[in-house]
Amino acid sequence: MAWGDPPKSDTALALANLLGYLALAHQDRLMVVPVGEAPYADTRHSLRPLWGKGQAAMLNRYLQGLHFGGQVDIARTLAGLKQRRLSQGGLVLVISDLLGTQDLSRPLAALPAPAWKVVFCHLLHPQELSPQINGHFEMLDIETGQKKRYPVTAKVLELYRQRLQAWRDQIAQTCEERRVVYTMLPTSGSIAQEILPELQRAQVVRRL
Amino acid sequence: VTFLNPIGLAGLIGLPVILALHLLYRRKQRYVVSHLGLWSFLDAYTHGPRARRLPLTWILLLDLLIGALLSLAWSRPSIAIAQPERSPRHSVILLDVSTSMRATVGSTTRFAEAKAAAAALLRDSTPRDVVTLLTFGQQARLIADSRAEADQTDFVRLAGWLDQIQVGETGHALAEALAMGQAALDPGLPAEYHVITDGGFPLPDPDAISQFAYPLRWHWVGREADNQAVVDLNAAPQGANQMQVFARLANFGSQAVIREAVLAVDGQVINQVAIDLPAGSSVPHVWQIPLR
Repeated sequence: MAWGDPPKSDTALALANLLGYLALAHQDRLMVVPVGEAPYADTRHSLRPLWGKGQAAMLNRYLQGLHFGGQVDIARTLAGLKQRRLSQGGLVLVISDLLGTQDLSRPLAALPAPAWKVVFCHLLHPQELSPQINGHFEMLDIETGQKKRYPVTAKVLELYRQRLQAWRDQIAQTCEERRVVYTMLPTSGSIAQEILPELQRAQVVRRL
Repeated sequence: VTFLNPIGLAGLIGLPVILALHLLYRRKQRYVVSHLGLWSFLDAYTHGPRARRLPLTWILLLDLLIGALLSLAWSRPSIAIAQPERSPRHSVILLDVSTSMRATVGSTTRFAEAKAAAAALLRDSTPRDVVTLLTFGQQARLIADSRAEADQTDFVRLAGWLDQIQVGETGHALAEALAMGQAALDPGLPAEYHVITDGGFPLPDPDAISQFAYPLRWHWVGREADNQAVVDLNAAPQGANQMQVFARLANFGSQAVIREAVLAVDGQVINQVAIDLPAGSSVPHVWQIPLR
């Protein structure tokens, strides 16, 4: 999530702030569970339940204190969410790029509707959606540090876009089968003008 | 195709170096990605036979082309193109051997230049040509004729006669030499005359020269050294039977030369002498002439 210029984490934090504030303003009980490698693998680093708009500043401070890095399998995290017995049901908003995520159908089966309503906010950077590179590159994975040399041509980029679209279609189909809301949000857009309308279209938030 | 500098082809070694530099650059080009899995479909390209293909880019091809062209240019390739064979001819070479031909021109003499010009004409001759070599000074002399040689096409041997010619005669028997050459002409061949001289004499009969029946080509030597003059001349009687003539000759040039000073009275040459003139100097000379 720390990849990109500006990084996807900026959009993720802004979105978390927005959705968190809406929940607090709606007098909902709000928990924030960071998903990642240590120290976030431990639930003690989750934000304790908050109520009311008065807690918005605390939410903001907490989010600003998070740091992004390492490798995350969101499917495994979702599967463990129920085991933690944090709640018996509710709305789960997942903000992630879903990179490195394996099969989502099993963890989503552990959060069945209607007790759970799961919303996936899939964040992808414009350079991930359509890379603007050409030539031979040694590609370095920012999360794992793994390196590989690949030739990148116009044909390769076309194949890349096709495979990325197929991967997104597969996630969307899994979500649809599990009655999970899925929305893909490019991180290039502004929260107010592009991301919020998209969330309204997906009925994640209601228009006043 | 032959190469005048074959060692220049060693520059072709640079082509693999260019290729290696491109491969090295390709290795150094790095791109940080958020997740390598997005590109994993390219593993088939990198592990298959196509992964070993050279990175054929326009810039690589351009670099290789420039390298190859520079190497070829360094090796100086040449192509021998056969020239169309010209028709045979009889060349008559007339070489000036007067005293003025001993004048120096830089590090050489006019006569050395004249011999070089004659040798060049001999080199240009083909086996079907006939060449007659004459000199003219006090009198005209037949030096050599290719038809008199054992091998009539051996112009190298004919050029050897040039080394035996003596220079330093008084007079300019050009008309006699032209006539002698005319008598030696092969009637079956077109003739061509080459006069190699410094031109340091008046033409005996300009009209005859201009109306000469055969092509006459002039090869001038030593022209760039012409920068001398008689700056003073005085004649005074010495007794009843002798006249003293004083002359001062100056060389305004930057090269030392030998010039021929000719004393003539009423158009008749009385005396002729070669005078050394150092660069930027003037030299006096005195003639004692008996009166008749």
